[in-house]
Amino acid sequence: MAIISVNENENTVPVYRRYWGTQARYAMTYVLITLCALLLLNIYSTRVSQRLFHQAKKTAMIEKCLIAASDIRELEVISTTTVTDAVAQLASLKVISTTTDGMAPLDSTKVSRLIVTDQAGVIIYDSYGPNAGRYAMLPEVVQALSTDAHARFGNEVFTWRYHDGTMQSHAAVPVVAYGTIVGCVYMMETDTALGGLIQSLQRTLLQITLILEVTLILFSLAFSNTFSRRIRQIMASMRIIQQGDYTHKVSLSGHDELTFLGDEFNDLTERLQTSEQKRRRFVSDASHELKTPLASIKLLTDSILQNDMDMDTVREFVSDIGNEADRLNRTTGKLLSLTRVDGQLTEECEIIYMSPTIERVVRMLSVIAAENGITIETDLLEDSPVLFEDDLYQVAFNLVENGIKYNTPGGKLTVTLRRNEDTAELIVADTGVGIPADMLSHIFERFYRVDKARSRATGGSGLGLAIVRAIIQRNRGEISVTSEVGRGTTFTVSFPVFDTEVDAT
Amino acid sequence: MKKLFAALLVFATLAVFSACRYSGMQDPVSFYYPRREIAYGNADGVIGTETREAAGHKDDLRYLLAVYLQGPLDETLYSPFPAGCRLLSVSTAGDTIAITLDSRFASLHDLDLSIACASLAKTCLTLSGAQSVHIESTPAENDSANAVNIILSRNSVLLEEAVVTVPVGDPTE
Repeated sequence: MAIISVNENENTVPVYRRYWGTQARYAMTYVLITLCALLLLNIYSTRVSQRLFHQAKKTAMIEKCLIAASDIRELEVISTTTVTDAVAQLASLKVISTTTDGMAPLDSTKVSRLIVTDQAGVIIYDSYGPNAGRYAMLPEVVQALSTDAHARFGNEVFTWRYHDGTMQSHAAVPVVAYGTIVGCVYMMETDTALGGLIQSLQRTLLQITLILEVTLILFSLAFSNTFSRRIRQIMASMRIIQQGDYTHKVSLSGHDELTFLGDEFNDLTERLQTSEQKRRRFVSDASHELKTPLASIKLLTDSILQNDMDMDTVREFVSDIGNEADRLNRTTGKLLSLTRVDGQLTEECEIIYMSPTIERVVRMLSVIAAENGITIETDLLEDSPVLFEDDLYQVAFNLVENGIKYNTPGGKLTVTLRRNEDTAELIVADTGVGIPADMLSHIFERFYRVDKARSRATGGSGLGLAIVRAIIQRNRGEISVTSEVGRGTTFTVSFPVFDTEVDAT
Repeated sequence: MKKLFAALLVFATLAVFSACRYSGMQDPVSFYYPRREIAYGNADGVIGTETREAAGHKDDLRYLLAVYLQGPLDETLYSPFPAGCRLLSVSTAGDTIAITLDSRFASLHDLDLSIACASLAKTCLTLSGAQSVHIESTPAENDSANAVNIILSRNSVLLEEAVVTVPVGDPTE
């Protein structure tokens, strides 16, 4: 986990002091999972191998005991002498590896002990020494001689213990003659060869496990380091951008989620950069637009105060001050309007027919048009249901108002509604001064004026078309303009049509 | 939470110490009985032990044997003696303890007799410090069983010849 330290007194930019938290967590998780898996594999392998050895040893030992028991059962008299002879015969045939004196094993890696008891567990023969007459209360012997409903003729018993490279096996079988238990054969082997094999197997498995684990630790460290390094790159870029360098880009190789995150981050940065540029330009333009009337007001008031003027001149100056104040008021009003619509998509629309709203706009502006000697013609037959009434009113008002302002005396303004397959079109065409081709691409920018002197004279703020475009974008529409200098300008606005039942009023 | 845990830990520790002090016996003695479940790899093989309180009778072998014949308190052990088996006499001659049991003991035979004798002998040798035990029992007149007349020394019982190690695999297979 990266630790973020913020010192508010000195610097408000977060300082990332440590980044290795995520790296360590990933590495540790990976190592722990693999360690558990390897340990389980190790234990399982060891258990399986021991079980295999156990099974093999059990079969061999029980078989030897059964052979000895079979020979003893054939004896006419079971005594120390007769049993000793029988065991010697078995040893000579190498069925069992023991010595009659019990002191020296034949095979140094496989020491055997053979005990034969009677049915009471009293020792008749012991290859280890003169133990005849002792009670062999060994668990295997007792188990072999025990009888119950399930084991009427005793039990075949095998146990083994493995410790430190030595495997000790014990087996006991009852000697059954004529349906009666007459004794027990017990055998013990200490096998260092097989024990060594098991020990070697365990050691090898452990070594493989350790090597694998070390490899995995190194691999996980490298992997987590690579992972966290890319995160560090992103965080470093964030710091740079926080400090104001919006041109900085994150450069991550690969095709994974982090690369995608880096790309998204770069997109975000670009948008931030664009937004920041717009904001600066807007502030600059707005300041300029607000400053101009204020400067005029200041100049006029200074003139009134500093010069002796007649009353008519003063009245004229005060009137100019009032006009500048009106312009200031209009500009701030439009700025507020632009701020409200800017960048917001319409979520809920009241769907209306267009023509009543257009007619209302034309009615509203017909007086101004008449004052300027401009004729307004309307062709609103192909009506369609479109968007929210207030938005349509604002768009139509600004376009018709512009058509009147920038028209020539005696000119004409035509307002037309047209229907395409999926869109409705509002066309506002004037016969005015027109716009030069190189300025057409700028007319929707805020505070942009084609003819600044004329615009100010007509009370234009340079925000009308910017507001129109913002409203149209908000309503998923489009606007286009064609113009010819000296012949006029045509604005074409298209909106998506909502073919549904609406209140025509 | 930590305080609660600490309090519980202290309480548990005190409880354990109290239990230990409470279980302290006066004159503890060891009685040997066969195990119900045969254990492999133990030093004492098929015969287990339980500690009982002599309560002032530590040197009273007759009393201790009478208690012993009543059977174990530990449920993992069982009494190898026939129900109602009684001690008739106990005497010490030199390093040998002579024990006479009633006719019920003589009804035991083969492995059961061996286990009973081994358990009794081990108990007597541990209690008294003698070197051998002479066990006698005469069957009832109408019983066809043989009389018991066995002498067991400290070396008479072979319990476990192997070094105690960790058992591997299923020992009952």
